[in-house]
Amino acid sequence: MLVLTALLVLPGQVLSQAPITFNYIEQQIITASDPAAAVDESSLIAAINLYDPLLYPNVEQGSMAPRPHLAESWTLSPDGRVYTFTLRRGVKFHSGRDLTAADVVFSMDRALRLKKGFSWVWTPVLEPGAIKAVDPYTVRMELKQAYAPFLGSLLLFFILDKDLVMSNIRPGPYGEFGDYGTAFLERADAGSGPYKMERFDRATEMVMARFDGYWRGWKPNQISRVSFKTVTEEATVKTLLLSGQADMVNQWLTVQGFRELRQAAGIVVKEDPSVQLFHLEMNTKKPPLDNVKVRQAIAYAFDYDIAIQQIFEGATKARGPVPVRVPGWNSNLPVFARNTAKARQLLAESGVPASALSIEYAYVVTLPLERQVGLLLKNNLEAIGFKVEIRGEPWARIVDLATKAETTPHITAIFDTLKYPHVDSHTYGMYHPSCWGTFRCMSFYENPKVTQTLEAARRATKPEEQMRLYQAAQAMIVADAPSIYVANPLHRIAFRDYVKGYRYVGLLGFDVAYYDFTIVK
Amino acid sequence: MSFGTYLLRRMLHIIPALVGLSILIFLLSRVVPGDPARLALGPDATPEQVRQLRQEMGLDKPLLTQYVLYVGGLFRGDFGFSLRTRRNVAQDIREFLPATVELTTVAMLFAVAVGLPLGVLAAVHKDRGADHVSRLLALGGVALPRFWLAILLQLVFAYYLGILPTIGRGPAPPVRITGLFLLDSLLVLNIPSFLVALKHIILPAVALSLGSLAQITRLVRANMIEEMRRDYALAARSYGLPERLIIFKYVLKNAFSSALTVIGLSYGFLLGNAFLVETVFAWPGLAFYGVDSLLFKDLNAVVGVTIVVGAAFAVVNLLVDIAYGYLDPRIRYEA
Repeated sequence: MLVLTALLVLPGQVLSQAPITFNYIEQQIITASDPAAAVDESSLIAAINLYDPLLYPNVEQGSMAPRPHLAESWTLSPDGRVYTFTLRRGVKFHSGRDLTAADVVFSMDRALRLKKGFSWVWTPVLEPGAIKAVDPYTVRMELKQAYAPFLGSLLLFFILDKDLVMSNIRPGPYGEFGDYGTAFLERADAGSGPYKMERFDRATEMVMARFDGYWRGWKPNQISRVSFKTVTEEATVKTLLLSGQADMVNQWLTVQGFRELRQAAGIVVKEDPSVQLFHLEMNTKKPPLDNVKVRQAIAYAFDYDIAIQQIFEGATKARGPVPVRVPGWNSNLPVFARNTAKARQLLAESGVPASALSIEYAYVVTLPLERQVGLLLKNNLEAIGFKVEIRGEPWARIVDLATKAETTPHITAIFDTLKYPHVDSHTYGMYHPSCWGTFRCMSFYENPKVTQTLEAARRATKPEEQMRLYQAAQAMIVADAPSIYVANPLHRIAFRDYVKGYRYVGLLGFDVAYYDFTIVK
Repeated sequence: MSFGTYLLRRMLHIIPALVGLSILIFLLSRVVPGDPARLALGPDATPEQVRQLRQEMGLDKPLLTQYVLYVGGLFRGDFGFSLRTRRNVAQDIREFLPATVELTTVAMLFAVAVGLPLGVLAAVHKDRGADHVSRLLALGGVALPRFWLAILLQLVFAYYLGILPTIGRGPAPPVRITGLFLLDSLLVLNIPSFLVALKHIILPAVALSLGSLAQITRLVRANMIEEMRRDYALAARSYGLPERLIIFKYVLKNAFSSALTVIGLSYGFLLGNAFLVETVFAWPGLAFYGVDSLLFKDLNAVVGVTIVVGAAFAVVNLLVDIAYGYLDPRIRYEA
């Protein structure tokens, strides 16, 4: 009878109770197994599976908005400065110890003092000591001022086992905290996540085993063991997936590589609009691009349709600086399209002599796609009288050039992914003068009204008011044309068809949460 | 000059070479564009974070001071902190070097074991079937790009036939002695572990060896043909000595000395240039680590790897010189 019931409930599926090993291939090494130092995808995947963040993206609803996780609930003071979090009871670390407010306080103080990873998101408003344990299950965080992206940024705040870390410190520069356990966390974990680190060989593999005491519990067909392998060569990655030696491979394969995989039997290539912006940043401090009409002329001269159809293959056309799937994106922004007559008219209105229309376009030399965009831009701009020099540079050089307006090229091709799940990332983070000197702000954009609006948006306490201000800023920014907004490329990932439960909400690493996957063969 | 004096002189030559190499690579690594601290911290790091890391790395000090501190560290076994792996480069090298040494050694053994008899066979059967086949193989070995061959071998033997592993070195033997899986398995007489390591190394070693194998074959063939025309070979034949004795005892010994140079150079070359094969087979070796570090501008790692590979090159050349001295005593007396 039980068997019959099971067959009726799960037609065509066989529940496997045996341990399930999952082979995941990533093309870059896990540079940091310490969650406070994680910034790249591989390191974030490790953190998400070994640790628990305070809040979690609402993947069940297909949204990146924060939902309760370790924090069951929270309140915000009327002035938007004080967050009070109530922690979930019964959460255990891998050591077997209960997670309490002291661990949360320790983890945030540690992140702020180490100054690595995503600490830069919190340092403008938080200082060590500003986080207090009110009682064992209540934490209070006192910000210097209201800060709109704060709650979202806590998705990237992972909680460590204070006692375990402190019992493994070595001498170091942090006084009584020694090295803050940084050396220890490079070979072990101190988390409460669904998986425990079993083995870590940085160059080749991290093996994780299911943590039986995980607070969310376990269901049949979930993955019990993970082999996270690093394989850089694309041909090898494809061979591993095709032969069944890998169950899932990362997003960094080429479009051609995914196309090949899609044609193979038993493989799913999942495509989603990403939260990435590809744009051509125009240096607004460098003549002739210091003239807004020249920038607008360039924005009208560029052939977006060809770029989207022939170079980006399936990408969404960008509409402003904020990727279109990010909450807070302004859907009423004017859309630039190629209009040569208008471009010529704007050039004439600019008053810039034809002899001054000479610019350079820089791109990352290892990305042929950016070169193709450069050639398209050159072709489009030369049709209206510009001279364009195309220059490939190593990424390290571009980062260096970006430090000063004088050294920053006229136009630079940049892929920019959402840094934290908030519209602030692609507005304040790119167009507030405080970001000058980084690759994100190679336009050196400055408009006092926009600056004021962005600051007001960050300080606004009501979400509706925040969004209204961020959207107003977007409109002003687009009108000033500090960039050519080209595309929101597709996010692709490939896995065997028996892997179920994959969900992409746009946040780096959160789609590869092994706990969400089941294997149904 | 005695053999001991000869050996000592050759060893002393290594010191200025390594000092020169360390200065050169140290300077080069610092003039390459890009701020390593900014790269390491990620593009979103604040100027303060970058400044702090530059200070921790000593990048704010004058170049000469940086060099002196670095060399001082080398004598204490401290190769500096890696920005990529966040630990001492010496520790990284200890972890990655054995994989490359093992791969390169097996590749060279394979190249010599196959290339030498193939060269002899081609020379003895000059302009006949065996010669044509060996020349074709040699030409292919030199002409085929290593990474392409590696992918091809992987597809045939790992994907279609499924008889050899696709990637990696396999599980480490239970006891680590040298870090060379094959040797460590043998030392503790763990035959199953040895066989697993052997299965994993076959494809990368074959892919890596073919270039050297081809060179050795061609060189041995050419030298053998030349030596076989010399007076001493003719005299031996006229005395009625057996052909096998003439070839293997007299001709091959003379023909082999120049092939020895190629073997020595190839070994050193492969140590630093195995990265394409290491990349395809996800082989956790030093060459791959070195290239990865270069792309990431991980200064200490780049300098550390270069010095280690340079030292290995120098040691291998020293061994070749010793072997030369053994094979041809005139060399050690002329030196």
